[in-house]
Amino acid sequence: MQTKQYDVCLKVLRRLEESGVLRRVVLVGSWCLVLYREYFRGVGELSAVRTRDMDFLVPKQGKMDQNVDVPTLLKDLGFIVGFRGEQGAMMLEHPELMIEFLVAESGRGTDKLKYLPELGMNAQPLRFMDIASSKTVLLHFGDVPVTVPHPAAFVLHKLLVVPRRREAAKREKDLAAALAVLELLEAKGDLPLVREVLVSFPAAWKKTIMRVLQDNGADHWAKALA
Amino acid sequence: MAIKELLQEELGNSLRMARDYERASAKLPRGCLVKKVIRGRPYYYLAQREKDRVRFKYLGRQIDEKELAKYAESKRLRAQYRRLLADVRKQVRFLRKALRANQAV
Repeated sequence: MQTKQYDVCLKVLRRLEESGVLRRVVLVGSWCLVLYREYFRGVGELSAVRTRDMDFLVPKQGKMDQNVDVPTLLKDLGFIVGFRGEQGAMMLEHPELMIEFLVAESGRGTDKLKYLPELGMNAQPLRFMDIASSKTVLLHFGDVPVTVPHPAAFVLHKLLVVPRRREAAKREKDLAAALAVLELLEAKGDLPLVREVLVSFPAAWKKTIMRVLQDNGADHWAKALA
Repeated sequence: MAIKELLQEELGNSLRMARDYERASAKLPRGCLVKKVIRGRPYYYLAQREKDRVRFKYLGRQIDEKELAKYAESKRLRAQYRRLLADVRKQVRFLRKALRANQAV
């Protein structure tokens, strides 16, 4: 891993851990692949193509014991507050890392950002995000324990969002990540766990996942998970 | 993933970040606090660059601790932002070059 980025990432995670934030959030997105190396140690390798975005999901039940102003917490590491998109989603920017908070979108969905006063940040609501917090696993980045979605939940979430991605490149990236993790889950003998998560999904979600697999030449996985 | 799109996204991020660092730097209090000791007594000045000159504005013989801390912090942050901005600009140059090379292939 690039040393500079690794160092910044480790410092950020340590601060979030010391302030109690990290215990309440779930690291989601492509950075999970870095942590999955620990989960799949001895099984196989994961090549993690990732951007600088580091996203944290704030679960509905993730109430903080005390308020922590995250922008202030990371200010002396050189992080500044930036805003993305028309809505002005807040992000903490550093040349090596961009940190954002997300929440699960519920009901009919809304474009409105959710303000999180306990973190001094706003968060973008995203569809299907609750899958990521429904089954989690505690892995390590350096010496810092980080909660990430269980690889089974990661795979199914990625497959579910593929058709909703507007950019072809992101669709490709999500699909490639999902299939790579799926292969390692099979090698580790964890396919029953994937089926277990899948069974709990509504029929429409299952249908979407199967269609994504079939449309992308992964019929064998569709059969294995059926 | 198509590497070109990934690089394009990163370039957009770096350009936005460069603007944000410039903006954050501009928001910091201008100038640097200077303590001059004249005949054993301290005198405080605010040194500010105006075009190619540095002007010293006299502030007094005593300065509030909070004010001192504010200028010290802004000096530290300005240096840090300048360094990070240089990193971001380096990334922008690298990404533009990579995208041009990608186009040529």
